[in-house]
Amino acid sequence: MLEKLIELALGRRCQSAEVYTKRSHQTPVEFENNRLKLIQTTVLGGVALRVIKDGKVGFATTTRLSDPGLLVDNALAVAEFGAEGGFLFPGPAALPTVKNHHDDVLKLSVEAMVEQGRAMVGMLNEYDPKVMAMAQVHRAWSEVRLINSSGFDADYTTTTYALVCGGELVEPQNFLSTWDYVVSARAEGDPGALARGVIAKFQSGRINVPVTSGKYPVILTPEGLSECLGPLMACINGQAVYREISPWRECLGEEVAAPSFTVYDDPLADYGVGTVPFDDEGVPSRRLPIIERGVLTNFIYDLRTAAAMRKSPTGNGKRASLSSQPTIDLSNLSVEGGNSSFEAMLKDMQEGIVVDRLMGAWSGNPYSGQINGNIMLGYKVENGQITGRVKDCMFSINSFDAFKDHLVALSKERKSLGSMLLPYVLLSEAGISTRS
Amino acid sequence: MKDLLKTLVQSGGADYLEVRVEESHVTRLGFKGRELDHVGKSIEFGGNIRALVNGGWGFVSFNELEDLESRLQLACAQARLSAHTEGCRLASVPVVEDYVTLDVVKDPRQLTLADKMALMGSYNDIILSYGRPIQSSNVSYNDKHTRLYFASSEGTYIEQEKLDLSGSITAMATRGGNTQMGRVGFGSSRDFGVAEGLEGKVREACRKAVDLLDAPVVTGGEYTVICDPRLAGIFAHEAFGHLSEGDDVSENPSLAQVMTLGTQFGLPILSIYDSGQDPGARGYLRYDDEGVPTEKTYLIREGVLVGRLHSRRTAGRMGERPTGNARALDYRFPPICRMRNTCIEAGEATFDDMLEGVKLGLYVVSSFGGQTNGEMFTFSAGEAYMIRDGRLAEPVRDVNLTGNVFATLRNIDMVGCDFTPHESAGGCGKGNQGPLPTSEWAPHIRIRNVVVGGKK
Repeated sequence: MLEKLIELALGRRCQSAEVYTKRSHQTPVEFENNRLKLIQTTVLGGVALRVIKDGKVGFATTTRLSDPGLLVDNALAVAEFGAEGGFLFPGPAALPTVKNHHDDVLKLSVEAMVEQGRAMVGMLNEYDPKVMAMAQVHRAWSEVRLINSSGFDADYTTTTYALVCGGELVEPQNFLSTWDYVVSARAEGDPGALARGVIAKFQSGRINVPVTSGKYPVILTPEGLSECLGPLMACINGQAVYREISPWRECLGEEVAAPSFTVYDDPLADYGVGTVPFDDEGVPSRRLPIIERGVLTNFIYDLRTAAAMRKSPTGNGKRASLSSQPTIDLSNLSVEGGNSSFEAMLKDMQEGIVVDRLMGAWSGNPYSGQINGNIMLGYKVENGQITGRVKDCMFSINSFDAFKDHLVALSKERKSLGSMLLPYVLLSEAGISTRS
Repeated sequence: MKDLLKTLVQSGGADYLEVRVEESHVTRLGFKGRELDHVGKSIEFGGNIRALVNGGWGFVSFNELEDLESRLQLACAQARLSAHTEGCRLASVPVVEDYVTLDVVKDPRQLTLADKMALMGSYNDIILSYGRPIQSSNVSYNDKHTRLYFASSEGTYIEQEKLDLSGSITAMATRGGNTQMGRVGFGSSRDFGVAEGLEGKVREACRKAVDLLDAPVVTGGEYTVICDPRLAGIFAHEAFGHLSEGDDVSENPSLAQVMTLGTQFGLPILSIYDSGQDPGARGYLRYDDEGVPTEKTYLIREGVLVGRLHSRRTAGRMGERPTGNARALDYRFPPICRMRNTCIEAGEATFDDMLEGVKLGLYVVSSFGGQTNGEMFTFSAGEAYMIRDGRLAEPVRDVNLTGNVFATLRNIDMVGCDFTPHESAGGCGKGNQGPLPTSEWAPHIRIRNVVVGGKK
């Protein structure tokens, strides 16, 4: 079928062609407001065809696999007006061996998943019946195959297992909601530990304490840090460099962060969510340093941007969905840990704020570096102790300055958040705005 | 299709069964800077079966219409597994058989891909020939034509044709490490014409991006804020629309208490509604994805909470009227409570009335996005100007507004007479279903005591 699409495309005078296909099988079990709400099964698949004809790129996708001719027609119709290609599909290459699937995930029964969800909801209910608990247990696998007219032909299977646990406590004029999750390519994850972590967050957030506007030292939890990495990710994107909108476009080899700050993209991480042997364009995966000891070392590229900039592709051509063309994205973002710990950061803090969840921090202009987010969940610290929750205030940093000039320490311990692996970070100052 | 689906849902095995099949044809194109970034055509075909057994739902989605009987059995088995003892009543709705065809002004399917490319390319050229410091652009256009088939075990059968088109045109100005953006958005459920004739607005967006380069970062603090109609609409959507969605409130007794109908939430000048009945709006919808006819649903009328956005399940649970707000992003997802076109009703104030007496404030225009957690909301302004002594003053940048929903609603002290329909690209996200086409129409509004993040 896929070979036939390539043949059809070449038969119609395309210089080259590429077929990407993905088939996925997902079973989420969802609890909402203390109750098992929905069990789903989705079995979805489709094909994306990319061709280069007269130097121009054509792209079409379908989930209706019965008519290959129509898919080729659509791709050729697009190629007539398509973007200039300027790149070659990669040929066969040695691919790294990665751990991105595990049979245990496939063996998990729906009944067992229901039990895991029920256990998490039960623990939250036991902590406080007023907390409305939610939980999800996910089991999924997908098969990806990519072939192209340069002779690349490879496939892989990934599995995904995820546990989500959270709750909402509503009092008049005071909502407290929090959640946590673990996700992995293997069936690891302890529902009890996850629920205990969520309960601990509720315990710290039950009492609201006042805070006044000003500058404070801040500990970003791994969750908090994940909300502040948008500008970094936007600035290292090869396309933003190519388009000359990345403020870091001239900064390769320069210090853009404090010497303790090191960032990798690691598609080879064992059982990571973004772990793959090759990217969605057939470029072999490799561990790529992005910021090493504060120095900007690499931008990330897909085939097209790499060709336009005469650089090597970095294996970061990713499809956001079957119907999306490859664009530049990370596989598994890893911020290296430091020598400190959350406990030590807290202990040394006279007066400061712990920022765990931000709201709306993504919504500004990423190239300005400015992060402004409502502190959805954060705590006041006095003399080394969390005294309660801070609310109705805005957290503001310029992330370029924050990770360069205000970075005091990183924790040794790191937390996996989907495709990210992040430490706790202590900043010497961040702006807090609240009602006067 | 009709016989196939109607027969299927009569095969039993659940308290309630429904099937949805969808075929969509999508065209997407986008320029980034000088280059055509992407252009593609997609055929999205698939369906789903949803089964309800004793309050528990099972849901199966698929691409191929083969083996529907065994998919149905799987949905029923999953529903039985998630069933619970207290059951669940779906609010009753009339059994409908209907065929909804498109009422188009200018049909994007009548235009060739070349026409669409040329039009978007011309906007891109305006930006790129504007000159420094305009450095780059981002232009995108999408259209989607859908045929949707729905059948339920209650006997309802609906075929609907739908159209959604939208796009955005962004100019980017860069100087040193500072990049600023100006944006024009458009959207419609019936008229390609909204994408045409935007040349003047695109030039305006370039000028604004350039002006923002020199604007200082706003000083954080508490301000009286005048929101333009676009941002006021996003406020209504983020701050109050999501809170009015029936799913949480129907199951969370303490939230239901906070959201008791009849509670005073704002001044009598404030009315907010959500409607599926505005032709042309991206949130226009004749029937929702449970086959329920849509309506104009008041949420706040003259400051008082009077309604919410229901699916059949949430309405049934609360003993309220279903409102036609159960929507699914596409065949891959079950319907959940969602907004359509969320509006603040026109008031009486003029813009000058709003400026009067504001010693130090902000005028915020348009938005790059927003978010809510129920009680608190936040959104970023696309552009912003200081108000000094009742007059518009210099532009400022990186303005993010935040607040407590309930306090902020009470602090809306003026509603403008200039109700403005506005459509934009993107849409609403909830759970993993987004972007769903929604609209937000509003007049200018003035809010006291809004917290703004920024430099100290």
